[in-house]
Amino acid sequence: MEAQAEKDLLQRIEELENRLAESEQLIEAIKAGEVDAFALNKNNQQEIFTLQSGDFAYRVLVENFGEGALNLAESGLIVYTNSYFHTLLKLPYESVIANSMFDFIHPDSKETFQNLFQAGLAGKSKGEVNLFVGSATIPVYMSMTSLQPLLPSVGVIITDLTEKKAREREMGEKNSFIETIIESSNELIAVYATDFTLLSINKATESFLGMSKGPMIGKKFQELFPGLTGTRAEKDLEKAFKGEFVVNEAYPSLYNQRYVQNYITPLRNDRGEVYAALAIGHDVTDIKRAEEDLKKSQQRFVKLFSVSPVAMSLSRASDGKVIDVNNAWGRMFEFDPLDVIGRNTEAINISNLNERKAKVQQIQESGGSVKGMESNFVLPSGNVLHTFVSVESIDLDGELCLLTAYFDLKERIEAENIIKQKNRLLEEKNLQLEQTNTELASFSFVASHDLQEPLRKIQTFSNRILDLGENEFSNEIKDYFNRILSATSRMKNLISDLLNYSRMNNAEMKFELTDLNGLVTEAKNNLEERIAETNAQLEIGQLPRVKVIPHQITQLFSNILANAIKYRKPGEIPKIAISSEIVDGRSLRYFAADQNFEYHKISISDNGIGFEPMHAGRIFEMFQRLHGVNQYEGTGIGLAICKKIMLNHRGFIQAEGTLGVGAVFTLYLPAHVHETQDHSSDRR
Amino acid sequence: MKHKTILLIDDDEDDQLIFIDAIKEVHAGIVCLTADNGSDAYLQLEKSSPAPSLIFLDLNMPVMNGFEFLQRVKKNDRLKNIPIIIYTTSDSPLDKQNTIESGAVMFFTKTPDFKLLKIKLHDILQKDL
Repeated sequence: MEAQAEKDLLQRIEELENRLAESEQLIEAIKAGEVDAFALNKNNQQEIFTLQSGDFAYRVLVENFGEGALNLAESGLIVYTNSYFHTLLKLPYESVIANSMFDFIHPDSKETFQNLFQAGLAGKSKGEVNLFVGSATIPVYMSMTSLQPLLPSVGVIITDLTEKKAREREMGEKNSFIETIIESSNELIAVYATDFTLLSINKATESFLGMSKGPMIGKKFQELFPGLTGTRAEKDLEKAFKGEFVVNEAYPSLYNQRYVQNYITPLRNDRGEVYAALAIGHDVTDIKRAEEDLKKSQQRFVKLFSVSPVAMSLSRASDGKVIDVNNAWGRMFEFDPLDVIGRNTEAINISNLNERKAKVQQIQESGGSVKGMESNFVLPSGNVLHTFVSVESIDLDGELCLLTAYFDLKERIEAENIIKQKNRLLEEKNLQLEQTNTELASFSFVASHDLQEPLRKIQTFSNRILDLGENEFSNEIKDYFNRILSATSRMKNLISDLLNYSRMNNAEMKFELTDLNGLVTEAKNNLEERIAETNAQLEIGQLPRVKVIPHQITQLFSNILANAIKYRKPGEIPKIAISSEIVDGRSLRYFAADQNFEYHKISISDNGIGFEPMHAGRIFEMFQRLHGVNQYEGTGIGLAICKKIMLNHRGFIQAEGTLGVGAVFTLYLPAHVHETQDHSSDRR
Repeated sequence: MKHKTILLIDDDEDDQLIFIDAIKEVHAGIVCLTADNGSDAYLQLEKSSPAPSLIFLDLNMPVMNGFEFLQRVKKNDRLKNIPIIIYTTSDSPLDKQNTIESGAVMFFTKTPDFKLLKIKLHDILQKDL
């Protein structure tokens, strides 16, 4: 079986090879013009083709032509093709020849081709058509020429456009990419033809000029910007047209006073000829303005520096060399500024090297700025200049410099000296006062003590005389002696009270936590006799334990209780009530009240004769009495002592009275400092 | 009679005079010796035989004051048991406390009232001290 099949196949191949050889011979014969006619079997029909005539050279030329050459019959049948065309179609010769040209036309191009072909038959036609072979589309350019009346056919020259189309597509993509870049660029871009015609501008340029692109394109530079004719702008373009790459200095636009720096590049064609200039403008207005502002501010600084009433110097940190000083500096330092600039402070002998180095170090350590540093200089006159300097370190062209302001301390020092002197005087006065106080206290103590002795003797001997003469003396003599005794008794009380009062100043301030009920009881005991005599009733409430100087508070209670009994209403039993409560210093309306304290408010009320409310303050003053000595005995010191005692306790005492009703004495003793406050209450 | 001889130590002549007058009127038989300061009194006591049975001592005196005298006597075995009464113008609680603690038996503040003085002295001389 296999052997048979192989035999058949070999036979078939042989037949085909024979036919191919025949065809090749025929083709060669046709090419050589040896054949005038030949018959071809096509679709089982035999058709006869006649080659009218052929010039051998012509055929060779056409055959080797770099473009496709065809001869189409009126029906569109390909009666001749050169090898270029069937090679273009990637088909063998015999698959092309004697086929209809319409079979190789892309369906989209059929109509175009039909029109071209008809026109070609009639005379001449040209146009682009797409060939279609397999799945490949080949763009071609066809040029048709009628061969009538010589032949009833059309000669067609076919040029392959594949590469050209591809190039065109590529170019198109490139161009749109470049256009996008140009359009979206913030730089100002314009293209001028060498005759100054504006070819293109981008959006940035449109908005910069405030003009729209449409009416501008195609117009000449000089027409568009008449103000720029003959200016650098025009000359720069001209330079570019001559092939020069131009970068111009930024200059302000005539149109909107903005600064633009242009980069102008000549554009050349394939032959290297300049056909246009591409101008790229960079808006540097902000930079320029900043530079100008800086320049202005520098000028202002220079002006401020020179006219400032504050003496200032600018010097280099590294060597102290003076870069500049102002006139105020010159006046202060007794120098002509021109003699100083360029020299350093050591050279002009107003400061020494170590001092300056120490200063520079201090400035560096303090982060570049020192305020209120005292600095002394020796002036040319020999006088010492005391100044108060403020130094700022500043960077000038990369060099650390010191801007120093000087303030003359002369006035301040003088003022300080006056204050110092006054303080010294004050201190002296204070010291004197303290000494005087001490002397006074000891004087009053000694005086009171020594005054008591003779007084006691007067009393003693008066009593002795009364005792001896009890039976002999007349009532008159006895009365006189009693008056002596009464007067000495008053004086004794006075001295005793004064002694007490003076003791309040310098007595030991020994505070002890003490139960006030105990102290009231002690006071009550001191007044035992008087309480018994008057049947006085005391109602003593629960009193707190407070840090006090016990004997002083006892004295205070004694004095107030004695007062209450002394100023009782005639014919009425004196009633005295003592009570206590805690009050907030903030709720008290008294000047003496400390807002930071809470107070024990201890009230001692009586049913005595009271007093006019207007005297409430006066009764605590030394020797102030509301009643005559003959009416109520007393020295006028008792309540002053009470006031003093309360002061010693950082508290205060108040009195309220209603004439004929009674009096209330209120003690405010500091309890403690508010919780919310810190414990700095000892500041009094 | 409980006491035959007593000693008053006081630098104040007036007070000595009044005191002696008062003693005479209270107990005429009692001998009242006097000394002007603690030092004199101490010398006198060392020589005395028998020693006084009661001492009235002022506090504020020159040469040797009452406090020093009190302490010195209390160190003397022969004299330390003689009762000492402080007789002074002071009414200071501190003085009272100090002297009682140092061994004084009583603190008696001088009074200008002669009658009161006699009454007090009468009481004191009756007492077992």
